[in-house]
Amino acid sequence: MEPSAACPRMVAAADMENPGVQDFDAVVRLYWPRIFRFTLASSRDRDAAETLTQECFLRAYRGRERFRGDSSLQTWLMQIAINLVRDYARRRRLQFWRRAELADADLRADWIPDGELSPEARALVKERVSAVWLAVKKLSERQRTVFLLRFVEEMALFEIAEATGTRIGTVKAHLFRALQSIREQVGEKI
Amino acid sequence: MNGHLSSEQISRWAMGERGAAEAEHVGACAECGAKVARIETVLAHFGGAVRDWSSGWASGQEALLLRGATREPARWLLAAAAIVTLVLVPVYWDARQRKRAEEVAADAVLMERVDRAVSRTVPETMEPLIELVSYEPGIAEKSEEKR
Repeated sequence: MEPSAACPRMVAAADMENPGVQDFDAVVRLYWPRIFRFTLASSRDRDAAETLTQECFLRAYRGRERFRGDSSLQTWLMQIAINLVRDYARRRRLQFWRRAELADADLRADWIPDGELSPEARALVKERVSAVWLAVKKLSERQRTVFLLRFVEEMALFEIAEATGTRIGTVKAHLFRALQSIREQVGEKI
Repeated sequence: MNGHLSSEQISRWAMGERGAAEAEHVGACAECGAKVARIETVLAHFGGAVRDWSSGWASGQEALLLRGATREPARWLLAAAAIVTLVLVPVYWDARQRKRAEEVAADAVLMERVDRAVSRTVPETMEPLIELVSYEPGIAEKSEEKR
């Protein structure tokens, strides 16, 4: 991408190793897996995740001229994805007749934890991860978003604050409640 | 720091908020060390599991998006197709109407021929004879007058 000389902020964004917003194909290639992962973990519905991810990039593409580089591209995309997931969750709450039809996508049964673990340790880790996965489902939408951004996307607290459009104190409060809630639900496993 | 870490302190530790006193205690206390290690391990494995899980489904999706993102040229294509259709439809309609009119005219000529053939009282070969003996009201009236 050739950064626009008319937009100094764009130049600053382009200077980073990440692609600028004008090279949209590169943006898609780089950030698609991440946005898809967040929408999938949030919605637990593969079709919905694909639609939400596609919609996220489509909105970004249409609004790419408005991106001024105030935040990183990833934060900007995540901001769009969070709003889409929020709207989706709201719609899904209203569609009570669909709730019974949609079986939540579950973590892959054949997932094997990294590291050299004994079969017993692996089974234990899988059991604990499954328990956390179930507990995350019961969190409020805001708590779940913050939890996933922190522990799946490994975003810093200030990045989460930017992406969610809240203050860092609010992020900490949601994350703390999320962790407490998960630990209460999972019990001794965590 | 007195006593073990509370549940709240362990949660805050997992969030990354670690005070010097807590860090010192975790280093010294095997029980609290094991607790924070367990929560850190489970959360790390959780993140890994979700990343691994979604990567199995994410492959090849970019192609779908690229099609979506470049929807504008497709829209132009649709608009162009619509314009071509708008131009071609009247032309096609006119040609069709003209062809139909020609067919109707040809049908009319044929029907006229058929009508003529059907309405003949004698075969075509006898028509000259019939003309000779045809009834002429003027001649009959004249012969009656002579009588």
